[in-house]
Amino acid sequence: MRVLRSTKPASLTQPPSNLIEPSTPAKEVEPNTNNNTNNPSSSHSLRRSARLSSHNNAVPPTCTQRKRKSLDIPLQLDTPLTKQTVRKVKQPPKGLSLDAVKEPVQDRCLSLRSGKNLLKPEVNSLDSMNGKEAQGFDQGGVVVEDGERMDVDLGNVVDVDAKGDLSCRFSMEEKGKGKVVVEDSSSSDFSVTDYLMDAGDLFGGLEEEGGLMDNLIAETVSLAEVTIGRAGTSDKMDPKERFKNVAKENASRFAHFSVREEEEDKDELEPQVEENGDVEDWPGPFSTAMKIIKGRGSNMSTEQKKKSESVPVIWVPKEIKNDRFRKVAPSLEELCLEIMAEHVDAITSLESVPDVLRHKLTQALCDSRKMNHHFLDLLASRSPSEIRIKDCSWLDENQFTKTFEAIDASNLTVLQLDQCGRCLPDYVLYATLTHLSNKLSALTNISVKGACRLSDAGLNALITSASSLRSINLGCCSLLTSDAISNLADKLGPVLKELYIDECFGIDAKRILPALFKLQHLEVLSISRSETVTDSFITQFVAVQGHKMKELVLADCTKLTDRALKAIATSCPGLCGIDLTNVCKLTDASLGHLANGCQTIQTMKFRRNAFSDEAVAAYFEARGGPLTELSLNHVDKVANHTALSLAKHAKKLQSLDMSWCREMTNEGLGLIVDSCLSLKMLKLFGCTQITNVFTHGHSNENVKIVGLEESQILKNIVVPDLLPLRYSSV
Amino acid sequence: MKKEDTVKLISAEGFEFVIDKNAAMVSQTIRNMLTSPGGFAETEHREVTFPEISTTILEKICQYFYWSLQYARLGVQIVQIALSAL
Repeated sequence: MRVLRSTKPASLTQPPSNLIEPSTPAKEVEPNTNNNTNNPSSSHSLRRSARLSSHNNAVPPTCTQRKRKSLDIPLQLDTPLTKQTVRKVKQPPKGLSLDAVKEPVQDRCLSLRSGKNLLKPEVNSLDSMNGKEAQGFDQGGVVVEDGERMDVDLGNVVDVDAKGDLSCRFSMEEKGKGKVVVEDSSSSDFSVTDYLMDAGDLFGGLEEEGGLMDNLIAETVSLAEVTIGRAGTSDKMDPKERFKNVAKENASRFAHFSVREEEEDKDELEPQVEENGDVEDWPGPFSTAMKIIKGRGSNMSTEQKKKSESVPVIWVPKEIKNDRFRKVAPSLEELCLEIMAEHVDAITSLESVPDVLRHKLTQALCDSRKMNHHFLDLLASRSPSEIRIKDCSWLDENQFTKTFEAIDASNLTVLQLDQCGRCLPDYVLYATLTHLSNKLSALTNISVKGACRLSDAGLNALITSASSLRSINLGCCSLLTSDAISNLADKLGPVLKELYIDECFGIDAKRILPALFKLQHLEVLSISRSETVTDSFITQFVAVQGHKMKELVLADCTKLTDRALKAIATSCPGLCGIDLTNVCKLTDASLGHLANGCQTIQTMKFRRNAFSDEAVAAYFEARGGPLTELSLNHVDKVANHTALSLAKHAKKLQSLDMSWCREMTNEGLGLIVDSCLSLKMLKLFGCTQITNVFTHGHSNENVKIVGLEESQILKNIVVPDLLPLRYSSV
Repeated sequence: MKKEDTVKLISAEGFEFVIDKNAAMVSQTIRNMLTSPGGFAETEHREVTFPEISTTILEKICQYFYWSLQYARLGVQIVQIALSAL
């Protein structure tokens, strides 16, 4: 073991005067009240040895709550260790018991910012105790050189969550074993040797659990971390000196923290910590599923586990056959539509052309920028029932006025004027749609996404004339405010079923809550990209409206956390679709909540969420049956577990997006594609690890693989359903 | 062409188009009509009537059938020339 020696006079720390003077040379590492008075600002990361703290204030060995934040960062700076969070150490090794000291957080804090406290790589000493090399463990400064001189200061931080569960994060050796060092509070007398022996026991005991802990990766709570250390003693160095030395060594490491993380933590720690891995323990489909996943892992030998993180997938590609690539001719309908789109000016009438074909033609024209006024007139002629124009940016106000002031809207049920910012300011609206003779009484769907010049007054006028709207899309209407939504709710309360207010920056989520409650039949709510959507908004919203909700689109609502998902899961049993794109703060606990709460999710969209492979796989084990559309775009850790679960359970899957999932292998994808026979679309952008072994070797005839080679993007954009309402009939 | 290899498609005006069986099988509808075990009259006589399809349309459809076979067999380049002739 190596001993830390420092010749610098340590002046930073004042070792706590009320530090114990135990008969044994145990060292109090924990900052005491002195430190706290010196650094009132720091309120995080307690580090104290449980044993010693027990000496201090005879606290009963109950679990306590502590906050610790920035300790994570310094710990991870130097070492390649992976940390695991384990919820409970279920069988404390002999001689040791969990000891958590109950103390108010404020009083005993480690002031990391001043770098005065010590975070020791206790494992160093422990490693050497076990005769292992401590190379993986050099956490920046404390090296224990000598066997007899346990000069290591070990901070013992035990974080306990609100429910009293002990959550520990273990620093793992390079060899991948988790260790827990927990001190025994029961004995007051101990010697260094005792300590070391205990540690060794602890190690030994926990190595059996190492396998279990390896598998408990899913329970990561962002804040919970335990650095467990042990106080060592030195015969020669004065304790104060040692403290100071170690503090100096580590000061620079601790000077690095994230302000925002800490701020938010203060507010939201409680509920988050509450979620700490508990989801797995709740009886329910998710915990069952997680056990299955872990069962997969545990069946493998430990060597296998160490090499590849997950279960091997067995899939044999079939031989390359040439008949796969016999081209299928485009259908006559496609050919005709292409020709019509190219010669749109020659079309004289769209009479008796069914709506479906009209929409396809309109879409083709918008995509190729050939859409013009002439065709719009054709669409609007003779009492149309549906007009869907996905891009009105070519249209200007005069043309719009000319077409729409004389339109016969008596049968018009669907009007989609996306990207109409240029052509739809308020005055044009007054001149056309709201002034129609027979109003817009049949209109059930309207989309004015992108109407950036539409104000509250214009919207009010529109709603007054279209009083039976079921679905309204006001995406990107930046001038709208919460008042407009209140008015909308007043007028359309009994009928509106779908509300899309994506990217409306003028609308404050909290202020429209009462309005949202007035919408008695709301099924679809889409408020993506809103900074004001918070956990409390979601919780309150679903408490009232949750039982009817079928789809929630919360893309880019980055403030949401697991709490919101828990509320959604408990209150929305009939949820059919959820979009959590870019909601980065979610953890595996969210998946657990969804699995336990929502049974019928068909459309699930993730992107850039930090879920682990096991948790995702467990969700599919539990609830993969009804899934039809799934996006795991950039959910980086998705790998073989997910592949196995999907292949086994997601039989109805039609569309799968695994772009940027770089842990996926040929075998995994092959298994999925060959097992999910309904699969029609598979997106693999950015998956350069997929080779011909998969693309030529899978045996699913219907699937279309997009993204590996040059792919035409426009043609592969999924057109939303052409039904007027997503989840119910009009 | 032998009689067994051909299928007759009859338009609304009564025009009869005699085409190869493989060509007709491009259409799933016709394929089902001709191959299903349901005992359709079409199966026996190999004649399908389309009372709602006009002659010019049916002619184009038959041309499409042949074009589609060529496409599948030959690839894109040659067939694009053929397409413009459609």
